[in-house]
Amino acid sequence: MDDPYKALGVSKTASQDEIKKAYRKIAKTDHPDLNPDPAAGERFKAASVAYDLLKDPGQRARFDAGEIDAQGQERPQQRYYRDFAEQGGNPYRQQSSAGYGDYSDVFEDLFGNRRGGSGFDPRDFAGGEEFQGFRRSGGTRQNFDMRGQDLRYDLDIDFMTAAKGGTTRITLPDGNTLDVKIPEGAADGQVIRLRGKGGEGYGEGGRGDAYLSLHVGAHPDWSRDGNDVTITLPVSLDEAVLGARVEVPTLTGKVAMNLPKGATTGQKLRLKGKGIKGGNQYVELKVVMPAEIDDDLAEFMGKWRQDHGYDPRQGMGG
Amino acid sequence: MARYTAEELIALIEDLTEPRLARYVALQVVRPVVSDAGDSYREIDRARVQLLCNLTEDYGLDGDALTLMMSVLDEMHGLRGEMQALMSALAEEPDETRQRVTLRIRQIRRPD
Repeated sequence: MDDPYKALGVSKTASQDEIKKAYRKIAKTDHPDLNPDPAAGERFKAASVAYDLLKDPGQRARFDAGEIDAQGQERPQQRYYRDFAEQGGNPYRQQSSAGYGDYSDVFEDLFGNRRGGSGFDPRDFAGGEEFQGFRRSGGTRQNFDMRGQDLRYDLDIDFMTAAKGGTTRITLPDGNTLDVKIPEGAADGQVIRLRGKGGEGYGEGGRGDAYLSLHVGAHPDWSRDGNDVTITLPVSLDEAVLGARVEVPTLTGKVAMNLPKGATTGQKLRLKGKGIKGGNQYVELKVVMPAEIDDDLAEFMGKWRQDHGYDPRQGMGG
Repeated sequence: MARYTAEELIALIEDLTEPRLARYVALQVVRPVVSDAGDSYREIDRARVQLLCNLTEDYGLDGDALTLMMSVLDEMHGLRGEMQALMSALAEEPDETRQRVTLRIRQIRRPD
């Protein structure tokens, strides 16, 4: 963009108010979320950059005086809502194959929710008993009972709470505090239903339910694959060389484990049944050098290398 | 993945104020991620709130009209994404398959 005034379609003498109005006008017609035409997107982008430059009178004066140019004002690539909403799994979209009639199976095959098999499927909650919550009383239109709205939330939980189960206390946007029970081995994307914690009903209708989609956080030392867990265990150089008996944290406290002689980084040892609900725990070793290489060690290695040098990179290409 | 607190979001988005964000949350057009450490907003929420502000500022939308608009937009964006996926999958198919599908679609969509 060379001329921000041109991008906004205003004269150089336009007032700050006129500049804002011009930007608003372009935002209204050309916003990428509302207008799919790529040309509109370009116009909007140019107008946004121009507006960023000119909305501040001080900055505008410096630009007019030639102290700064319009280049270098590019804002970091903004991601519009559309960029997120066009992807699968938009948490705000009530995706449903309803409306595709006989072809709803085809739709479901192509675009249905497949998040690890435990994903949220609105159809699970839309039909059947839910509709029994809606009933007219006395047959009059004004006076009817209706079950409250179901509310959906995304809930962050930490790695350990998900693995071991537990409770997490949250405050919902309506101000209610809830203790949510997280089942052992809760999976990312799993949905927890809280009966009666949704929106208030009308008349004699009961409250709706709350559905919490779980998002399991990462852990610096632990990782997880289904019910199997892996911990990265740092071992010292001497433990790696000589073997050792070391304490390893598990989900339920520490256990002792034998390190074989010559253990190496990346090597995985198994603790059977120490994972989630009978799954395994794997211990991935990571050899850690001492904080300082002292003279003793250096001298020894120097001597050792003369007769015992080895090439761990043997056979690598390149 | 970046997360924002309500304060950070308000600082980031020009037209966003505390009461306005509270209003959007009350309308459930934006849903912060809840946790025992409090609420947070994802990138998708940031982009969505930015759009909500545009709709409120430029079109005067609020309340039910705003809720309806967002649900239509979500459906439209979602359908466009699905259509794109379908088309890119189709584009990789052999010519013969594409012709057969094209023909069939034209038959189905032919005006009476």
